[in-house]
Formats: sequence, C-alpha cells, structure tokens
Amino acid sequence: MNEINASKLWKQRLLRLHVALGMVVSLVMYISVFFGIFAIFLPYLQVWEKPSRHIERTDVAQIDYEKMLHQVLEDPNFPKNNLLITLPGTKGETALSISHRFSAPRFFNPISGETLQDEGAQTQLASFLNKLHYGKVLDFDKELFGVAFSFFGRLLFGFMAVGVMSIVISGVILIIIFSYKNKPKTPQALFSRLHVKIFTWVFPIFLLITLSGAFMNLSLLSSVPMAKLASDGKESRIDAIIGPVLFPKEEALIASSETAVMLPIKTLIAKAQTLNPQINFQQVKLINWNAKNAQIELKGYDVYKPFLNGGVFNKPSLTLSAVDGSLISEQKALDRSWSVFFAEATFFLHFLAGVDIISRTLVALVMVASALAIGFGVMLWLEKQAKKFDERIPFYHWMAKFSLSIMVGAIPATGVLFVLQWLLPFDLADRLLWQKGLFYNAWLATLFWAFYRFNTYQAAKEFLALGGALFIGSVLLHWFTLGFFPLSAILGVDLWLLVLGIVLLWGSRKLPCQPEAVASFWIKKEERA
Amino acid sequence: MNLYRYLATPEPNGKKIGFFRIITAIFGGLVLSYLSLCVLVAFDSPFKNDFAVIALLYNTLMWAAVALWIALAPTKLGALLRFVLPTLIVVSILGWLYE
Repeated sequence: MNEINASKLWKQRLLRLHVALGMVVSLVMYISVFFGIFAIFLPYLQVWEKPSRHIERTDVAQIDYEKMLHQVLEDPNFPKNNLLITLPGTKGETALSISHRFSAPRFFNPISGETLQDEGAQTQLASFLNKLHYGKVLDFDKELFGVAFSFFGRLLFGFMAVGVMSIVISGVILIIIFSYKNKPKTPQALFSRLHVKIFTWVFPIFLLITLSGAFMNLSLLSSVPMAKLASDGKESRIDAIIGPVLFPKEEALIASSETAVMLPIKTLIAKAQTLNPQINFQQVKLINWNAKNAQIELKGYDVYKPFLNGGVFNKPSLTLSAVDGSLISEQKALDRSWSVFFAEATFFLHFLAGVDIISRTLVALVMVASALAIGFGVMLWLEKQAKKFDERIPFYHWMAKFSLSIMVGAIPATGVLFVLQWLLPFDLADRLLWQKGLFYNAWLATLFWAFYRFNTYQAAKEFLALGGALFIGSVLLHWFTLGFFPLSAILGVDLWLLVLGIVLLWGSRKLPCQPEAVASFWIKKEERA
Repeated sequence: MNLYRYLATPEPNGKKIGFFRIITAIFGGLVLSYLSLCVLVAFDSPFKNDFAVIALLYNTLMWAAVALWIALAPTKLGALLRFVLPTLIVVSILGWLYE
C-alpha cells in the first residue's frame, strides 16, 4: 500500500512540477522561440533591410579583389597587416567587406569595386530581432540603465532555458509513464494531445537548442570558480583554460623586408579550391601582404561534415604562399580535439552557420511547431482553470489575457517593426530608437487591447488580421521604396513575408469568435460523443 | 525532533510542491551540478582542457536534471539528503584533489 502511494505521489509531483514550471517560464520561452524564428533568417533579413545591399550576387572566383584592396591599403588610417576579407555570400551577405581586428569594416560592391555607404546603426532590424531572441531587450544606451537591464534580460533568458530543460526532461518521463492515446473529445484533451504529440517528435532538437542557449547566457558568467579550480588558482578567466582548445593561437610571422609581386587573390582562391574542393570559403586573411613571405589564409565550412565544423570553433583552413601559391599548412575539418566536435555539434542547430535555406527552413518549421506546442500547453492549463467555473460564468483570467498579448500580440508588434523599416526615412536621426520605441508601444497596446476585449478569441482574430496586414504592407512598402528585385534572396524574404501575412489573415478568418463555435472549431461534430 | 518529523513525514499529496523543495531543488541543484562538473576539471588528466569545455557546455543541463531529481524526492528530508550527501562526497573529492 505504501509503495503504491509513494509511486502515486511521485507521479503527481512530476506532473505538478512540469505544469508549474511550465507556467512560470512558458511566456519567456515563447518570446525566445518566436523571435528566434526570425533570427534563423537573420542573414537574409540583414540584406533585405539595407538599401545599400540590394546588389546582385557574384561568384567569389570572378571578383577583382585588388581593386578594393588598393582602396584600403591607400587609406593611411586603416591597419595594413592581417587584413580580413569576408567573401560575399558568407552568411547571406551580398557585399564584400574588408576588416581588421582594430578597425571598423569597410564594405564594397564586389562587382563594381566601389565603396558602399553602409547604413551602420541606422538600420539594425535583424540584429534587434536577434537581441529580442536572447533577452538583450533593453539596451537602449551604453549607460548604466541599458547595460544593467540587458544583463538582467540575458540572465532571465538563461535561467528560463535551464527551467525549460527541466520541463523537457520531466515531459519525456511523463510521456513514457502515461499513455496519451485516447481520442480527444474536448478542446482540453485536444490541446493536451497536440502538446504531447508535437514535443514527442521535436524534443531532441528543442533540447539541444535550449542547451546551447543556456550555455551562451549563463555558463560563461559562472565560469570563474571552475577556471580557478582547473588552473590551481592561477586563472580566473575560463578562456585561459578552454581557449587553447577552442581557439588555438596562431604564431605571428615577421614580415620580410623584401617586397614581391603578389598573385591575384582570385587565382589563390581558385588554387585553394582545387587543393580542398570540399570547403566553402568564407573569409580570407592577408598576412604580410606585399612582402616576400606573404601568406594568405582561407577559412571556410566543410559542407560534407555538418554538426562537426563551420560554427564558431572549428573552421577548416588552408594557408598558401601569396607569391607562388604553394601550400604552407592545412587544417582539415576533422583535425581538432574531440571536445571541439562536442561544442560544434551542440551549437550547430542553434547557429546554423553555413547552412543553406532549405535546412534553415526545416529548423524554422520545427521551431514554429514548438511555439505552437508551447501555446497549446498554456491553453491546456487555461482550459483546466476555466473548468472550475463550469461554464456558469464567462471565463476571464489575467493569464489568458497576458499570454494572449505576449503570444499573439507579438505578431502585430513585429509587423509594426517591419512596416517602420520602410516607412521611416533612412536619414532620420535616432531612427533605430524610434523603431524600437514604437515597436514596444505597439506590443504594450496589444496588452491593453487583450484586457479590454472580453472575448479572447475575438482579440486573437483581430491581432492576427492586423499582423497579416502589416507584414503584407511591409512588403508592398519595400517594393514601393526600392523597387522589385527579381530572383534573389531579397525577393525570397519578400515572398516569405507575403506568405506569412496570408497565413495570418487566413488564420484570422478561420478562428471562431462566438463561445458556442469554439468547441466545434477544435473538435469536429461527429467526433464528439 | 519536531523538525525531523516535519521533514521526514511525506506530504499527503503531490499537488503542492512547497517552498522548501523549490529552494532545495534550485540552489542545491546548482551547487551539486556545478561542483560535480568541477571534479572533471580538477584532476590532472591529459584531457583537462577538453573536460573544461565539456563541463561548461553541459553544466546547465546537469543543473536542470539534478534540480528535477531533488524536487522529486519522496519527503522533504529526502530532498535535503539528495542535495547534502552527494555534495559532501563531491566536496571531499575536490578537497582531496586540491590538497
């Protein structure tokens, strides 16, 4: 008897922990997933948002690099040694950039070789969406307020990620010990079924992405005691311990005093490509350029070894002599220490570095499913709360209103962000601040509207319709301001936003409004007993 | 003795988690998971730096798992012991290694 009771208590407690923790963190997790879906398409959005990047794509082996390199080398204020050339096509970027560790990058049109007028801080739509994704939400300034609150946001999102991992583990145990096989007959049962079914399929991906997120927001902050322990108290920065493994130091090469004629960079790239045809080159480093011992280091992503390279830590490279193109050294994708592959594999699904549009879309769809599943989890809880009133009085719960505003209200608020991208003039002072401020105000307005509208479904319908109209509007405004760009990643973003807008409008039309219609919307008549 | 009885008596049902379990799970889980991964880093091995990478990567996952394990103890005393006993073991290993 005691044994049975203990087991019953254990199961009760497991479910209770899953639900309670879920209600605490679900909204923050939803925000992270929602903006994360936009962040998956960050490379394409980054090009879409900037008028200066509306240029055609080029083949990296056909570019006349010297034309641009000369402009940089002639600038007396720009450092000369170890210049980094980021090739067009890297992370979706259409421009070619020449940068240096100690200098702001300069951007060029790879076809004409002209300097681009980079918009800089005037437009950072994609990067703002990315910051919303990991909790750096209030960095309006570099003063104490902005710094303190973006730090707080990162910690909050980090703790949320740990909570989510607990929820995933408990959820997996719940799926194993309980059977969720009944045919759903009430909306509550349907939400439960959808929540369980979706997460049964996607939880490994979801867990891996959450884990790498928690690492980025928390682990590096908490690493001081571990660094002390690992180094017998000598180091307090973990970089000193893991740095040599993750980022091996390169030895500096002293420039020869004799000068020599360099081979054209496109010839060197073509040569490196024949030496290792598997690498997709992304960045080129010029060491001691124009000296007799000049070298060129080409880094990239080995497309045949996903999960093991290309992210942050492992970038296969080739170093060639720039004078005669002979191979000096080579680092292949699998030449690194085993823990580097662990790190790469953990981060691969999160960063999706070097990954093409199809894989990105697949991951984005998985995350859309996860966002819906989180939403169904919250709706399941709300249905249970509503049951307490047994339909005697209409259900009005603050959590319903609050989560409506966070989950559905985020859609029109983001739509405002996209519309403002093309509505605000690009030379407006503090453009980004206006954009962010109006976005937050729009989101807050959805909270008021959610509380004002008694019928939650009606408010949701209105938010979806407004969001759909705004996303479609942002595409039309884009075409109106900058014209139509056939067959490019830019048009891809336009189409993607159009489809999103249409889906939102369709969803708004389909969603029921009257309380009587709600139950029959979720459960078809014939299925109800 | 009263305190012992309070801690050792199982709650009548699992529908309320309670402040004691929450605090023990969150902070106990953090201390235990962090220190046990420190063991990986503290002893001398050829893979010391690699282990540091692994420990940093997975300490949040371990925190999540350990906190859940502690919170699911049959009694409050059980939860406390699930935190205290392994932590004592881990701390003594660390002390022995660090000598």
